[in-house]
Amino acid sequence: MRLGMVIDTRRCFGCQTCAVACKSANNLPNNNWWNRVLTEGGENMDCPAGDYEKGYSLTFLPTSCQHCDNPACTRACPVGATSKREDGVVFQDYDKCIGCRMCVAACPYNGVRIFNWEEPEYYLDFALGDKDIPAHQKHVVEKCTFCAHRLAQGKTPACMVLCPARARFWGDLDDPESEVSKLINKRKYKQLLTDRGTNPSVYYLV
Amino acid sequence: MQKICTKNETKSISSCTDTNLVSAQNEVGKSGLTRRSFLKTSAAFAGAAAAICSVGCSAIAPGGKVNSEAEEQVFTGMCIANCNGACRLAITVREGKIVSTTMAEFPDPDYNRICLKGLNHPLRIYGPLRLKYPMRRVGERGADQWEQITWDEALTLLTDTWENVRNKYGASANAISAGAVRLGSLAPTMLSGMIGGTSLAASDDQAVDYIMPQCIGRTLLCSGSEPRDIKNAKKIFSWGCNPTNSNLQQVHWLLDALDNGAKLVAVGPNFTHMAAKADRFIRIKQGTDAVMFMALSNYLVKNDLADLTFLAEQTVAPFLVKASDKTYLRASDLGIELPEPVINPQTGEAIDLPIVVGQDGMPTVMGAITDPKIEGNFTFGEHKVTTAYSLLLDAIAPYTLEKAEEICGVSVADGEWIASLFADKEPLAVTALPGMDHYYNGHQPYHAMAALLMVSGHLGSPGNGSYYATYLTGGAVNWAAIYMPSDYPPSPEIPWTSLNDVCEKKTFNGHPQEIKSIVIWGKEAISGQMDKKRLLQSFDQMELVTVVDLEMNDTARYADLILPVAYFFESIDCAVTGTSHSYNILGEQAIEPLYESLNDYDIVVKIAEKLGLKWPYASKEDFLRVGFDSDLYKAAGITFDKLKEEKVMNSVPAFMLNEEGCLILGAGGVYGTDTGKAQFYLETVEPRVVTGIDFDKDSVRLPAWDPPYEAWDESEAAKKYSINLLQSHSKWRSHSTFAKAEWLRELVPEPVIYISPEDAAKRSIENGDIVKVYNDRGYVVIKALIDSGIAPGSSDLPKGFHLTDFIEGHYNELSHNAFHPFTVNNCFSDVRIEIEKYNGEVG
Amino acid sequence: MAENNSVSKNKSAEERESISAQRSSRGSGGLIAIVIAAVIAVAGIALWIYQLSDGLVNTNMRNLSSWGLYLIMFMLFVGLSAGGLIISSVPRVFGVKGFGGIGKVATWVSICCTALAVAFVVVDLGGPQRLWELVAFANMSSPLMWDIIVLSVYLIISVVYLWATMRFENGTGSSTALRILSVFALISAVMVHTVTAWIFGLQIAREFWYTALLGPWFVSSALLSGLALILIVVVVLRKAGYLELEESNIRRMAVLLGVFTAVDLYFFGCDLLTSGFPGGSGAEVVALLTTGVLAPYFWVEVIAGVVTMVIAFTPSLRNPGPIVIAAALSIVAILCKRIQLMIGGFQIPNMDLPGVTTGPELTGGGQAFADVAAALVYFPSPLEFGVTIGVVSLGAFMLLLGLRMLPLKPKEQE
Repeated sequence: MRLGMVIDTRRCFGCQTCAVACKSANNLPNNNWWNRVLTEGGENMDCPAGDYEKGYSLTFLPTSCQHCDNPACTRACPVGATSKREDGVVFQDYDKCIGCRMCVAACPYNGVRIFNWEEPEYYLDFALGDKDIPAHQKHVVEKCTFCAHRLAQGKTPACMVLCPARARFWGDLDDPESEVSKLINKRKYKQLLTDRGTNPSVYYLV
Repeated sequence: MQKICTKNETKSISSCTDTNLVSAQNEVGKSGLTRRSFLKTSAAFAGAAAAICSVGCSAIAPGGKVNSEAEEQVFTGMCIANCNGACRLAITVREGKIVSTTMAEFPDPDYNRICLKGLNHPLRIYGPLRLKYPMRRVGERGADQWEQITWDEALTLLTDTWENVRNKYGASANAISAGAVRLGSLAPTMLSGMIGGTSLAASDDQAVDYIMPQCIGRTLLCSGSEPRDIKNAKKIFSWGCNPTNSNLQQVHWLLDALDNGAKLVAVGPNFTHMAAKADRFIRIKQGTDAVMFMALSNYLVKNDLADLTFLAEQTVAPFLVKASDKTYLRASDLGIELPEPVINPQTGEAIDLPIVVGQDGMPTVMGAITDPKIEGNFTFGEHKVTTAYSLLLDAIAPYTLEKAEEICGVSVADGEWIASLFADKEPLAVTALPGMDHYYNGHQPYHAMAALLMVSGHLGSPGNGSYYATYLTGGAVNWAAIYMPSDYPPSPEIPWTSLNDVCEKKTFNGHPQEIKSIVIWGKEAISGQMDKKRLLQSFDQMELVTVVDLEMNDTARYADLILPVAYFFESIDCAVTGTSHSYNILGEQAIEPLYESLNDYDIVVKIAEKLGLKWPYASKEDFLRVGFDSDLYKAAGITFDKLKEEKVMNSVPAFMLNEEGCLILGAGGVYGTDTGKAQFYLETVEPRVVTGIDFDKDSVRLPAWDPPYEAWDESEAAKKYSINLLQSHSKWRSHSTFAKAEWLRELVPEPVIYISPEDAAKRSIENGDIVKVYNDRGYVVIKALIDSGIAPGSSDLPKGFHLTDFIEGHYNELSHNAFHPFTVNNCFSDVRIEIEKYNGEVG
Repeated sequence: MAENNSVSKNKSAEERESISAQRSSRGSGGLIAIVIAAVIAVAGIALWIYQLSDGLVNTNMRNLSSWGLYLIMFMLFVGLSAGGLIISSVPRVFGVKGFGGIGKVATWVSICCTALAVAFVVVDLGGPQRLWELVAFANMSSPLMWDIIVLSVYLIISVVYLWATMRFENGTGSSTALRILSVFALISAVMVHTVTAWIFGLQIAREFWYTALLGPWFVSSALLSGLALILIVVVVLRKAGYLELEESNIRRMAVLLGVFTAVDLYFFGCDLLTSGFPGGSGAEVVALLTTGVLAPYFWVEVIAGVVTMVIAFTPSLRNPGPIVIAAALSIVAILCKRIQLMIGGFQIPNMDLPGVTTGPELTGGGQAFADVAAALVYFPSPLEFGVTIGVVSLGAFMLLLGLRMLPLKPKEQE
């Protein structure tokens, strides 16, 4: 089984709902974002490249852990705190993490791994979001786990519940009948940093 | 910000072997040290394994593990954010607190929706800005100094003020501004009736909302087809708007159309996220769209591409306008009586049908022939008449594509290309969101656009027409019940846009008028209405400014008296208006009102008690029941009690929908206008609000164009200021709602003005510099970012920030209260400013 | 650069301390130096405790630059350590004349450096209380795990080697055994820095780091910096009267220093050319070094190397005074190299599309320091400097204590 994501960049208009859905469901500490919608365009977020004469270009790349098939991070972690599961999810075990940040150095996808540099802080004094999330810890690395706590109950990852553009899909890439497999068979796609040998499980339809 | 931690569970620290950590539990989450032990490096002395090192045990908190044993309850509700999304919410309550607001499904999953904003509700409910108890201002206005008072003291102050003001200035000097999406929260609209006070009416989006129904009519719900129908369009124009920011719940149907091969053309001054999906982006000067639409109509007509059949059959084209009084020639004018008169079902009276001219030149009543002439001047009896279509042709004749190039900046080649799309018979949709509305001439673009849709025949069938207007507009509600008769004579409504003029000049519509007290119920007027400085002056001459709201926003900050209102999920209610779908949604009560807040309805009941009025409803639920007691709701099978069971119900009776389940505007050629036809000519012209300010009625009967008030290179304001200020909808906000939602703040922490590279270079402004934005009325100091998508001479300062977000000044000092007397509408985008690098101290 | 100054200040503090310590090897002067070093070390440990409890947020490391000064110093000290041990073991391995019996001092310096290297890893960790997991859950595919194993083995071998040298060099016991031990010491010294290189060099994610050359290159840097450190220490000890050493030994070591510098710069040149020749993203890296924000560190390294070679290869300059300067410059050069490597790995992100930045802002003090080197993605915070000074003082403490209490002088001089 290989869980993966397909994101249709022709439809995604960068509304950031998936980023906030992840943040709220996982009760992410302040300033932590496991899913960031990046702007492929100009110098500033949400601005296009180009000009009126030659034409503009602006697309969005929701970027979170790519759950690579050949992850650099799992090889680098000295204690196996990050590991590739049978279902394809690259999991993060907070209790094992010694905070060496080797995985952050090894992962080519800058920014998908977050280290809690201080005691996690929140805006409210009680936990928001799902109730089965593993507690966030100071001085450990965290990242998207495909909402492993939801998968364990057969539920949908938070970012996949509803994309307003209907641009996000997830499923078993090993199953030819799954929505994601059909999409990547039918449509042109690109992937991020394919020259690093990581074989990511996220496909961006173009 | 105070360091706050989540709850901790002891079992997650059992993985640590150092027994001293057990004590760390007691101090978990605090900064500072716990008991610790450490061993010095042994390697150097004992040659032991190098990896063993000191175990400086700190307060490494086990983390805020949620109590996964806790029970959760999920309530149903909706998000009310004045964005028209009206998403259904699943509200999860855990240990007595709302911990998440996520998507709840609609019966038709095609309508499922949620957005980044609606996920933030818990932060607003429990956040630091939440108003907790009634407060009375104690320092200078705006100094944010308050004393807490009781509800009784607060309402006594309010009602006593009303009485004093009434005695001194008359009942109409007490103003109430109230409006809502939910039925129960509409109770405050009864207040003006209860005290004989003046209702302050909304003046936002009123140009498009006023002109479109007059031109293309309405369905049961609104002046457009069901949003879902846009996926049937083969050509889509996103004109002067940015649905991906302002109406993101409806965009997926547009994207479906694109996936099915439709072409999207974005037309506007600045390159938007909607334009990013377009096949072409065409830049047009702000406030000139009417010229373009007229030029396109003109081109189609001149090149024999107009849909003459559609014009003859479905519009007022063949009707004959009398030169004498500009009304239509009717049967009674020619003394024609029908053997079987057509009866108006609503009035029960015979309709005096308009006359049309047959191909043989003979006049006859509308509907008697299928191919009337649509062009020509005729004389019948004493009446000199011209067909409405001929008048239209005269009106648009000066507007050639060359003229459009001069005025709008759109090349003739581009104009011809656009015209070719309109000439094509495939379904064509235009998204008619209120972007073009926000100018002094805001009615003109929509009028001209509607005319173009009629000339090209793109109306009245699936995939054709104008889309994305506010959909559910409360037409089914028993409004008569939302009216409380009082002992005082009813006062006329005053539009918000006139408020400052009235307070300054003490007159309205030719009569003396004072406004000496105001209750602003759930409206962010300081950021959301016009000309902040004048508004504060208006407040200063009042005896009491009362604000009823959820959060300490800018308007609350400047109030004299604050009443805290309960949150959406703290009281039962249901959504009946202001949505972009046709469902009524039940909002269950998920938690008790926090602190001392009361829900809108309960506050009104208390006020009624204070006033000594007999309150007619035993409970809020009874009130809601009565609101649903109307013929239209009966036809849809909806009662409040049924809604309590079903949670969400479609308010459109099934028989009105087509096979795709869509309500199509103009289906069967029948439009909800006075004439039943699509109207490019307005026979009846009345100002939306009677302000006593004259205007030439004839000037609005047909499509026309006047330059914008300020946002125009030859305006008076342009003599001093060189850049137009646009304040677009930001995806991070719904106007100013969610302004302080912390998660959204992390994504975009501060207000920004986007300017073009050309304008930045001229002013030596670099990306990220702090700038001063100013005009005669005021200024604001904020950060500037360079965006090549902004047109030179334009700018974009997205809405949604509070006073405390600006380095200096306030962005709403820049706007003005000018309005066109026909539409009486706020011209948010018709503002001219200058920008310069800021040299003062920052922070 | 502030950082270079603080390191060379440390070095000169160490020098000064060992000088005064050795004026009377069991005198109160030495004791004072030891106490001072201990006090500073304790202060450093206190800062480290603060770092653990208030959080690593007090460093200037953040999600996009997640390693910093601590691991820069780790790299530096592994190199210094490996170099020292190589210098002391090579003569014995090859049966050639050594450098005047300074082997034991060199070994002790090496052991102190190893301890410091380990200490720097520990202070960088977020969860040092979970170190036991390295044994319990060891993931053998991780270069960090390899390095921990190799470092442990290396430390043990170093200590045993020192003990064996002390016991057997006067002929009692098997000199063959000692020779075999020195072979192991040499191999483990080479491996320890090679494996350390692999922590960086095997990461295909970071263009700046990913090169096969990194292993050999770290070894050449180790030789260079380690030898330089030994040179400084023995010249100072000699000046202080702790040991006698013929000047010819010093000069021979200086020549060796020059050779190692040449090799190191040769590797650097190969790597730069290979990166830059095809143009493209490699050229970006070259630009970063030669003209970009890392240029100061690059040019200091190159110029220091050239000066070192001039001193090393010019007989008239090959005197203890200039030699010590060359050695100090060499250490500074290698420190610059570590800085380039570490910061360079993070300076050019693989994905720099605009979007939300995660993680906390820099602290007030941290921001003030970061403003010093505005365009660098990372510059250490005051806390990092403080902890670093503390850890280095711990090393000084160990060094002085060892010099005072262990029989480390050349055997003829005991």
